[in-house]
Amino acid sequence: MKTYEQPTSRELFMRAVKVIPGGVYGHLGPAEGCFTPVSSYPLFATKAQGAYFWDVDGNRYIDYMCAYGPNILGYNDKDVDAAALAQLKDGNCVSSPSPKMIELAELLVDTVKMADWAFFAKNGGDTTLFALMIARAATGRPKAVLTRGGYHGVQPWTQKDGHPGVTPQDLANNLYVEFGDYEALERVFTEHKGEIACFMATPYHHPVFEDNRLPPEGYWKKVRALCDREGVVLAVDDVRCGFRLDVKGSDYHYGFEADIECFCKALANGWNVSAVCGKDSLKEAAGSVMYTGSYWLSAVPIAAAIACINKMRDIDSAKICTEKGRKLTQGLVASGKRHGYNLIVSGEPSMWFMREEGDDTMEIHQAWVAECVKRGVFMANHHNLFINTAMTDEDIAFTLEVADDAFAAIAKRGLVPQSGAAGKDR
Amino acid sequence: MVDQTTLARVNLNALLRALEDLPNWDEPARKIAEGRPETVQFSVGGVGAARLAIGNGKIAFIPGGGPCSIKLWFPKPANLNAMFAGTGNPIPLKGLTKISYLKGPFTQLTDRLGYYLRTTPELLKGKAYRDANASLSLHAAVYTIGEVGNSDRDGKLNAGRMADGEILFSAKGGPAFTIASKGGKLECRKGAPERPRAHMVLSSLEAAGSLLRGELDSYAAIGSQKLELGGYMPNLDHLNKILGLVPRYLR
Repeated sequence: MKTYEQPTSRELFMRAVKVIPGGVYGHLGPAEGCFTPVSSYPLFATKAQGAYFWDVDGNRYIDYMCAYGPNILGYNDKDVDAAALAQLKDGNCVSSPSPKMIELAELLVDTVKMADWAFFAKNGGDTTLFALMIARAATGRPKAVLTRGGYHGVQPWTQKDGHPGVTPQDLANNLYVEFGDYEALERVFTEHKGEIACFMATPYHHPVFEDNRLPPEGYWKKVRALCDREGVVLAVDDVRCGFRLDVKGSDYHYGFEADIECFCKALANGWNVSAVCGKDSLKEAAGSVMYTGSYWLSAVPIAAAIACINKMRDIDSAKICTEKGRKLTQGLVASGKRHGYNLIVSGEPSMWFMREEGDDTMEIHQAWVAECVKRGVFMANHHNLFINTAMTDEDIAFTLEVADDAFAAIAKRGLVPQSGAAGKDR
Repeated sequence: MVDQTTLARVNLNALLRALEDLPNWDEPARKIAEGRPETVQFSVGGVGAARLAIGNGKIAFIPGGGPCSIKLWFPKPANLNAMFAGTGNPIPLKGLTKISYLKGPFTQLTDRLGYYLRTTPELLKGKAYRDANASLSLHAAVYTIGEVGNSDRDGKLNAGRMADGEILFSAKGGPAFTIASKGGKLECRKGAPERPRAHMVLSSLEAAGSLLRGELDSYAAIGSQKLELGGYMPNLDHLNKILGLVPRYLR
């Protein structure tokens, strides 16, 4: 199978790094994105359509990162983009907001089961901080309980002590428990009775580098009851999972109701808007928090979100993504087995995580993913992957062909799983 | 924030240790080390001791106290740091008659190390000088990682998050080191690990020097494949946070 080369990406990177810290910073860059080896990965794209993007060297990739989540209906979805472009003609960032904002709030209240109101911002991190501030405003308490390894953005309070730019004071009000450990949560609530404003967690645990974990049976119902008993706000960070598990919200998917739910990524199929949905009991507190941004009420992404939500509802995008994800992952696992590799798949099928068994250096998985990328299937080796509804059965079939060829390539290099894998990150 | 104890540990266990590599690169240093054999012990209150055995054209760094011909005492970490900054002197406890050795050959050796570590644009025009600077800097940087990871507040937090395993840190055509993490503590040593759990490999000694001198941005190094990362990435991520603290201690 032909493998790609990306000389123009390399040239552009060297140009970028002179004027942009990191060249390509953050999750899309070679460092945070764990491009291992970098030589296998494209660094810049020129265009995208449906399930694909094309790099600056003209190579096409089926994109299983989906821009790390925003692409749920396929890049340049005609209905979403038509709504955005129509709004652009009428106005975008104006001194008065567009009535479209009310329309989107009404649509979210009608769509997301727990929602009584909606508030808009730009990024996932805007929403998680707002959720925390609402909880503090409502309860008069300072502390937040978070799950170890849970991701809620990049603001200092979401990062780790000892990381650049983060002070111990930034984290002074955080308490941590393991995801899914109800007893630990109850213990922390008891130890800090009257101090905890909110418990914030993702609907299921999807950290980087390690198996993703679904909530244990009955976990969320017990957490809901505990939060009610202790007067703690239950905030669900649905930024990554939102609309990929259920258009009604991931809390609905797991059979409970959050007090606050944070959305971003799939909300507008790549147009930049995020949302916080909340219960009536927190509406006044939400209104009391001074929270805004230069572009938060811009109408174009709001119009896109309306079109995106309507389409996700119409086609049941979560069901489509789940079915395609299941079909793909079953095929990938079977492909691995044919070559002597045991691909461990975890998380939800619409946004699964995978790794190789017996690979405590991660080098086998890194090598396999790199071989897939070089053959036109774009994936990350450290992060969960994503499905979008534009992916076809032909795309899945092609992906499986690539996976097979990539497994053959790493087997030929003598990369074999080891027994007695060492410990994981502390 | 620079912690004086960590700085003393870096001075003692990383900078002094870099003298080991000096005779490999510098003929005058090798000749000085061919003189009268001496073993100099540095003892620092609250930090520990280390010895430099100088003779036969070689310099050996020996962790811990023990047999020596000259013993220097620094009551507090700040006293050792003052000596390295040129603003303080040690208290000789043994070898009082050998003060002339300290002021003579030993100072000449440390001056030769300083010559290679304190670069100028003019000096860097020579390839031999650049290679020596790269190797000695890499040597000092690796051992500084260990001291910062085991002593500095932020360093300890990040080292404490590392899984057990060994990291290969090397420059192709240059030296290789092992950075081992076990129970959240770091141990650095010369030579490549037998089975590295992760690797951080510079494409050349030239690339190592450029990176350590700050001429090459680390992200540019990764993107341009001058710095290859692979393996158990969480450990490299934590190590990178410690690496970011190294310049505070190696000014």
